[in-house]
Amino acid sequence: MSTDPTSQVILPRVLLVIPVQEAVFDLADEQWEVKQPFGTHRFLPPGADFPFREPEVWVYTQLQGGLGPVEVVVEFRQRLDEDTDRVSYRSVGVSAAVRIDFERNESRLTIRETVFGFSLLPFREEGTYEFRLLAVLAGGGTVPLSGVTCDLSMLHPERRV
Amino acid sequence: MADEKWSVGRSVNAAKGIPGTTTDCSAWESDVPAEKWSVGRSVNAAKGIPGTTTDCSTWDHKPSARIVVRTTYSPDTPKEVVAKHAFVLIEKLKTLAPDLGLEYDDERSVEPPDQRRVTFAISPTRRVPDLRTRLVGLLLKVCDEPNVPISGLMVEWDDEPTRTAA
Repeated sequence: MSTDPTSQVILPRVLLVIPVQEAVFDLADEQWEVKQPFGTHRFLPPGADFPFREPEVWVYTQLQGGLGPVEVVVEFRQRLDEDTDRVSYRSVGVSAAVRIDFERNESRLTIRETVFGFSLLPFREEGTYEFRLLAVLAGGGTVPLSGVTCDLSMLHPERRV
Repeated sequence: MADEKWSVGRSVNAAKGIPGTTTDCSAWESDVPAEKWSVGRSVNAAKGIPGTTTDCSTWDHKPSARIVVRTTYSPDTPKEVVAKHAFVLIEKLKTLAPDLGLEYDDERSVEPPDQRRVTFAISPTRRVPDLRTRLVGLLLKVCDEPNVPISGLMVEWDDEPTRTAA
């Protein structure tokens, strides 16, 4: 274990994960403005079918409780229902990383908000998908951050009951 | 999966919006005198950080090439052993080429009833340049896997009859 306190890193906790249709960063006040949250269920647009690509999705996130710099990515994965009690996932892809620096002289209650944009996000088939945040480790691996994730069910409008 | 098979468009919100209500709360908590209340718009506690955008157009593609492994077992080999060997190879390949998103390919794997000769396919789920060359390189790295009774190992692709084997 390092004895240098400036090298200590504590991973943050995820407070919020919300996919939205639009996100704009205001450079003046360093705040995100988001519009049209996706909710938990979405329908394909008229005439579309699976496999389906959403042209643009923004995932708004809030993190808290970190210490030191951390690289964060969003993993997009499909939940596989196998008629058992066990839920498994198939990883579809991982976003580009955002580096977040939780400064050592600030409160651990400080919250950071950032947004991960995705273009042509794929939904191979009808079902539930998940956005979850991962921290990128120094060795290149990743570890899931504690806190909330976000489920998004993509449905075909003609197959609803 | 080929590009032309994907629908592209903006999905539709499954929730139907309903007009909301507004409630005048000025009479709530009236045991505290009105002049003691501060009134104003609260401020976002979060500090914004510029984000990133990711082009997902190469995600979830089923490229036309894959690694096919043939293994030969004695008839009494338990199914779990066969499954474990597939898992061992997939994990090894994943470690060697994490950018390919290699997964067990259920559609192209064959499990005969007698369990003697099993063929399983491992397919990339990401589109990358020089896929065939990459797969052949991987083939050479796993052909001496000591724990798996490999009897045939090849890279197979859809659009040409030729195959590369190691």
